[in-house]
Amino acid sequence: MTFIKVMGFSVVLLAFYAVYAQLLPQVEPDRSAPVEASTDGLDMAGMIALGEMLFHGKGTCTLCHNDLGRAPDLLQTDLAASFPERLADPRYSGVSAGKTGAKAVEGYILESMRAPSAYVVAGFGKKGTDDTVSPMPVVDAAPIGLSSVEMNALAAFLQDRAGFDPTVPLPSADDTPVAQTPDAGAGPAPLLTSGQDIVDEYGCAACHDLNGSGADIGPSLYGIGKRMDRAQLIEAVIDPNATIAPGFEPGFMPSDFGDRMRGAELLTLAQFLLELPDTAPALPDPSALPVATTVTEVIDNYGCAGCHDLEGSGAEVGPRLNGLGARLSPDGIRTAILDPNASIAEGFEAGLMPDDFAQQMADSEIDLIVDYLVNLPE
Amino acid sequence: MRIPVLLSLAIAAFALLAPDLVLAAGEEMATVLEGAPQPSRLDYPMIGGVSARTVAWSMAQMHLFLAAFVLAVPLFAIATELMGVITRDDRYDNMAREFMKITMAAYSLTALVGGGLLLSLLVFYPHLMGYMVKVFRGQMLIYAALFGLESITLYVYFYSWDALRRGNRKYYHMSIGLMLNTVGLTLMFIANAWVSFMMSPAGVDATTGAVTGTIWEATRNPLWNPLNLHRFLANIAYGGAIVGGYAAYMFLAEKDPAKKAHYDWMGYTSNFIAILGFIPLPFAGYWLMAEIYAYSQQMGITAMGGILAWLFIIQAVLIGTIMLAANYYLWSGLMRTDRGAQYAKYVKYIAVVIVGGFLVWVTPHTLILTADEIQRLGGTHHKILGPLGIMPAKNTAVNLMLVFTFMSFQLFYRSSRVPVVKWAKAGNMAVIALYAVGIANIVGAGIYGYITPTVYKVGASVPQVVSTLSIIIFAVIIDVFMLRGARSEKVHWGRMTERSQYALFVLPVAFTWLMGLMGYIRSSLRTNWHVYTIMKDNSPEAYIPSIGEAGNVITAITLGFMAIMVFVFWLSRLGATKQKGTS
Repeated sequence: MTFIKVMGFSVVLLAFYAVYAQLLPQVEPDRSAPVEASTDGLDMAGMIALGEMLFHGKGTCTLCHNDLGRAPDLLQTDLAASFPERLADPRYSGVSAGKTGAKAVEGYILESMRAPSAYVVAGFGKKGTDDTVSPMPVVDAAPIGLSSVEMNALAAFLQDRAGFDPTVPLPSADDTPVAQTPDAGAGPAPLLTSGQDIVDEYGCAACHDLNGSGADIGPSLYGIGKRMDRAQLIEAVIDPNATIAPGFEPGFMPSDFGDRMRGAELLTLAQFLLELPDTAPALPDPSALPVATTVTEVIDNYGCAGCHDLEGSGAEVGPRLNGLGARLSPDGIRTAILDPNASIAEGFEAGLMPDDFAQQMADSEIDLIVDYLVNLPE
Repeated sequence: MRIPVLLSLAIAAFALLAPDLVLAAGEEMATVLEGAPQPSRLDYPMIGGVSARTVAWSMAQMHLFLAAFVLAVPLFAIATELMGVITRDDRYDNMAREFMKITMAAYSLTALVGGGLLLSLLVFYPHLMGYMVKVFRGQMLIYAALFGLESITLYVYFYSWDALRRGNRKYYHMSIGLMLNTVGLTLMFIANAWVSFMMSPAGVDATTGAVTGTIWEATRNPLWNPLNLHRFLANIAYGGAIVGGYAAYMFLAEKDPAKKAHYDWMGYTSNFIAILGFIPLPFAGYWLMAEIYAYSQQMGITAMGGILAWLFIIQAVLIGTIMLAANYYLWSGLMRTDRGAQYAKYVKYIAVVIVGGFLVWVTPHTLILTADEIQRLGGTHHKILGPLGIMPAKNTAVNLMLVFTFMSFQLFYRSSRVPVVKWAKAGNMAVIALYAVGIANIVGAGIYGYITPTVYKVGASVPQVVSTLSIIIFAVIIDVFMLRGARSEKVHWGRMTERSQYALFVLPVAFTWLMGLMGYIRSSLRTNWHVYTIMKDNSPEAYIPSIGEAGNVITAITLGFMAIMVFVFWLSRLGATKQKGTS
């Protein structure tokens, strides 16, 4: 009897620990396979974007270069002022000592990555070394292991932040591809390794004519390889308002893809888009598509999350739909889907949402999505 | 019978004079210049959808639980045996023998699971094992030979107990015990070398992993000694907790008051040993973590400020459970003496500090929040509770918890002894002053931690640790002198509630889960490296599992281990049960 009581007690205590572990925030690991992406054709804007991604990601720079005082906060420091000061500091005797200009800054940054103790910012040296030894790891060796292209990209990013025109060499076809291994710890999401997955994840087809979506909020991406080179395409993704295609307006495309995508994803997406055919493949007969039987299928089939913040998409082209049931009646929601321009939510524009859902969707599908939106909590 | 003594002395002298030869025996100058293997994802054997990592993880953790127990119990068996010799109290000797009886039952299981671990590593991670054998070469054979020696000394130590119990023969017996512990600790240090090498490799080329140094260089890697100390102390605490669990089990199962009294005393002593090992453990942990930071700042930040940071909140819950249970057991013990009641009024204040410290320790600092949550919270940190999440608050909390746990113990100790020295009043005043000054220092250093730059925050913990240890050491010294010739009050061993025994049983359960958690953290620090910076883990399971997933695995292994332990306790009791009518 004691055996059973003691075991029962152990089981209850262990169950408490197990449940507690489930209650804490779960950081889901990145289980994806490693992927490599060529950097051939990347222009300087692409290098800066790649550098920023590496700064926040694979380079692990933000582990120490933050506001906690372990290393200079490079995102808050006035680099335009501090780089020249460091090059002129008598304590610095490295490759750029006493020099000025963008090239000297490039040399200083690259040296600081390969030999961090060449110059240690006052107060940030290893304890007891009087700021002569840096605690920073060498970044072109394990465990970080950045390639020369990646270090150049980081240098370009920091030069850009300091107000200099980056002077690093652009990558060529002979350069080592950017190897993006899955994050051993936590990534916001698994690394996407196919162009189609990236298009799906970031909802490109909601605005651009892709995958037969027929969307026309943004220009069609078929034949984009004829209109843009790789560098221009990457720039268009990370800085969409820099150049606007004729007939379209600025401000619609999210400008944070540079932050949200990882370097390898950006390069993979560019390659995927460049290889698209010139014209959209013939669309299958919509009536031949099976009718969606779940609300998830409805949302996926009709691309709702591409414009509205649904299923964690964070999209802001259309209004947020959480708590819609409190603002509109079921009939009001039905009307908003079938005749979207009849009433426009404050802060949004008419004409963006397709107005042919009445023809595209089966009645049962409309019922499903209306019922879902009525009950979607705030 | 002088042979064991001479042999153990010879081994000890040899180890001190020529560690290279002992730990690197049979070594030739390194000529293997081939780098570490770099297997691709497809090179890892896939066997029927079995999760290779979960199998190796479970085997390693179970082996560690059993080995920690099997190595720890002889350590304090010999200490208890020595106490028996010094005090001439047979109870100590009987208890030490009973400790060893439990060890014997667990020993064969340790070997069995160790074999399972080796097999799982060879089957699922052949490249890693091949590399490790290249690095440590003959040391692995020495490990196997020492394991054989451990078996021999363990059996001889246990079975010769009664034959070598009295007179000079007792010293021969203790010499065998000393040899057993020397071999056991050497085994642990060798295994620690392999594990710490995987975290902070040495004696190999930093770029390719080619073996360039001696076995001793690989053994003496930067994290070896911090890990040795941490595991040594943890083993003592763990062994004490498991034997305490055994005593609690037997107390609950026994009906005979005399036997209940014996197991109550055994539970008290084991709890004392567990707490004794536990008190310096956080400081050994600080040293280990400081060395990890010194070796690789990235590794340190991954542990304390990265994705593993949340695990230290679970650690706080587990240690909080241990502290509360151990203190509850000590408070319950006050009823064993008639004078205990006069100290009971202080218990509520100690409880407030322990619970308060626990709540501070469990308060997180950096939260993983959605944008919406940040907006609602008004920032990334909670305005009131956020400051309780940083190190000065944690250090203050843990030091106060340790000081007040020691106070609980001291109250029970005092309840059975009345000082008769003339300066007793002054002595008591000195003890009170010691506590007051020490606590003020701990709190003051904690406040200083808030107003000093980050880099000095860790430094502020040093005076706190010194204060805690000073209180304990000086209070013991004062008590030793003040209670000399003290009037002893009768201790009614066995006068304990059943509830208190379950509190005692919390210790092994929580300790085991905690060890599993710390193993998961330590292993995860390597992120996706088999051997950090040298040999990449390219297997499909190279990622760090989520807390929930890890919690499930740890719970399952702990449950398995506790089932084995309770079964061993039951067997032990069965072995002492005689059929009616037999003698």
